[in-house]
Amino acid sequence: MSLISVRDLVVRIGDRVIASMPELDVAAGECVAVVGESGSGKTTTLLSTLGLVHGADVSGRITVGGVDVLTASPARLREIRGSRAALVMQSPQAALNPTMRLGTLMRRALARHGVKGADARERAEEAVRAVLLDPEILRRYPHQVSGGQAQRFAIALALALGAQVVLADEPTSALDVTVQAEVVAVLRRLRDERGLAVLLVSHDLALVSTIADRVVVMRDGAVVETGPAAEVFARPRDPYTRELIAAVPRLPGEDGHETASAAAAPEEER
Amino acid sequence: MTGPDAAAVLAAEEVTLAYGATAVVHDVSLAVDRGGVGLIGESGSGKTTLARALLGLMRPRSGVVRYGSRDLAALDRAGRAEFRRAVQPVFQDGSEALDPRMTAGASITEALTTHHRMSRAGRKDRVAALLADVGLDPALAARRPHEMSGGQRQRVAIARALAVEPRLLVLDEPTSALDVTVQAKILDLLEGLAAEHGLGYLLITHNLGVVGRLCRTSSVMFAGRVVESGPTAELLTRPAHPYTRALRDAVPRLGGEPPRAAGRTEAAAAASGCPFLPRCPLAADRCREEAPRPRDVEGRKVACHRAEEVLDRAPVAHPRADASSPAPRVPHDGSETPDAPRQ
Repeated sequence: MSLISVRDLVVRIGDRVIASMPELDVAAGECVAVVGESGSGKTTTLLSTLGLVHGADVSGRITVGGVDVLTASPARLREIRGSRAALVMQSPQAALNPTMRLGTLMRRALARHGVKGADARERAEEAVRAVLLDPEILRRYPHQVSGGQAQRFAIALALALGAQVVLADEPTSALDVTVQAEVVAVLRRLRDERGLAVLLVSHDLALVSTIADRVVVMRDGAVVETGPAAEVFARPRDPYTRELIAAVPRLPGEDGHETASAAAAPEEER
Repeated sequence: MTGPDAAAVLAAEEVTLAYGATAVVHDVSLAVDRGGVGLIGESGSGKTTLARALLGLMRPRSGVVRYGSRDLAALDRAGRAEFRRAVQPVFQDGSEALDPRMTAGASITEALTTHHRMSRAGRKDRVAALLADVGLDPALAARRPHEMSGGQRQRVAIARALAVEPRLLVLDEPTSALDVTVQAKILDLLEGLAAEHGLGYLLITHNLGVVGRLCRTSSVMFAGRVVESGPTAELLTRPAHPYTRALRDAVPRLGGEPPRAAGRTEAAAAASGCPFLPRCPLAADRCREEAPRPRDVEGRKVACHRAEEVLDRAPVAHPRADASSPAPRVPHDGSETPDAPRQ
C-alpha cells in the first residue's frame, strides 16, 4: 500500500499552473525522487503532500498514511506533520529551537504524544542511534552540532514519534560531500531496515541515482518523465532528462556511461 | 606592465593566516598561473580564508603572497592598483558583485572606467563585446540584477571581472548556487575564456566533479593545511591522502554504488600530531606523535606518513567498471553493503 499517494494534483496561482502531478505513489520501503531545476515545481509538489502550500489553489487528491490531506481538519493535518511524516529541509538548524537542548526538544515532542519518563528517554536514544548519532548529542544545543548532525537529528525526532514517511527537500545540498554521504546512508538504512517511505526532492541527479527506486523528472511545473531510477538514468527518453544527466560533472576516470553519450565528453574521460 | 618573469602570476609561500590569535591556515604554499588550479576542501578547511589572502584582503601572519615576483604586502600604490586590476574575484552568487540599482551595462561600465578612460561610444561597444564574450545578448545590458536569472547574473559578474582584462580570476564556488544545466554552461564558458584569453584561475570548490573538469592541478585542504596537491586526475583516481580518498569516495556517481560514508566527520582536527588523525582509518602511533610534512610521492605532494599504503588501496582508473567486485576500501565506513551491479 502506498503511504503517500497523489492523484491529479494541480497547484495554481491565478491562471498559472506552478505544479501538476497526475500520479505519484510512495510505498513502504521505497524511495521516490522528484528531480528538476529551480521553478520545476518539485518543492511545491512535496509541500502539497503536507498541506503546506499557501496562497495557491490546490486541487486533486493526496493521501498520507491513509489521511486525505486536502480535506483534513487543521488538527488532523498537524498530527500528520507531527507524527506520521517527517519533513527534512535544507537547513535543519533553522527548524530547531536554539534555546533548548536537543534532548529537551525531543522530550517535549514525545510528551505531546503522551510518551513520558523512562519510555521517552528510551525512545529518544533509540531514534538517535537509528540515525547513527551518539545519544550524547541529546545534551547539546542546536548551535553545538554540525549541519549533518542537525539533519540526522531532525530525522530522529520524526522517527521517535513513529513517522513512517520521510519527506526530504534537498536534504544534503547545504552539506559537505563527506557529511552528505552520511545522511544518504541514514536514509537508505531507514528505508531498507524500517520500511520507511521516502519522498526525496533534489536537483542532484548523481545523488538521486544512488538512493531512489523510482524517479520523477519535472520541468516548468510538469512531469516530463517518470520510471524506475535505473531505467531513467540508463535510458532517458525525454530530451530534458538527457540534458540534466549530461550536465552532471563527472570525476576523472568515471565512466560516462551510455547515458552521457549525448554530452560533450569530459576532458579527462578515458 | 609586468615584466616577463618565470614566477607564477599569484603564489602563496608558506602562508599562515590567523583571525586574532587563532591560526586557520597553516604554512600553505600554492601557485596559480595560466590555466586552472583547484582548491578543494570542506567548510571550515580554510580555503576561503586563503582566497582572501590571495586577493590581498588579508595579511599573512607569516609567509608571503606574491604577485609575480613581488610581495603583495610590500606593493606601492601603483603596484596595488595594478594588482587589483589583474586579479579579479568571482563569488558564489553573481548578485553579490552587482549593485541592485544598476543595470548590467552600468555595472560593467563602472569596472571599465575605473581603470581606463574611454569614450561613451567606446564603452558601449566594449560592454556589448563583453556580454557577447560571456554568451549573453547585448540587450541584457539594460536589465537590473533582479530582472535576470541566477545564471545570467553570474555571467554578468564574470563579464564585469573580465572588463578590466585581468590575468587571473579567483572563483569561490562560482556555480554552487546554480542549476546543473546552468552550471554546465558556466563551466563551458570558463573553460573557453581561459583558453581564448590565456587566463589563469583559482577555482575554490567542494565539488570534485567541477574541479576534475576545469583544473589540471589541485590542492586539497583539511583543517587549514594542504594535505595533498598534484595533477587533479591523479588525485581523484588514485588519492594518496586518506582525506582526499574519503572526499572522492563520498561523491555520488550517476548510477554508481552509494557514496561511502567514511564516518567521524564531526571529529575535530587533532591539535598535535597529524590533524586528520581523529578521522583517519589508517592512524598509527607515528601519526599521533609527529605531524607529517608534505613530501613527494608519485608525482604529488602529500602530508601523510602512510601515503604509499593509501595509494596501494586505491582502486585504479575506472571505479565503476569494477563495481561488481568493489576494490578494497578503507575500513570502518559507516555505510552498508554496496548495491548489486546495475548492468
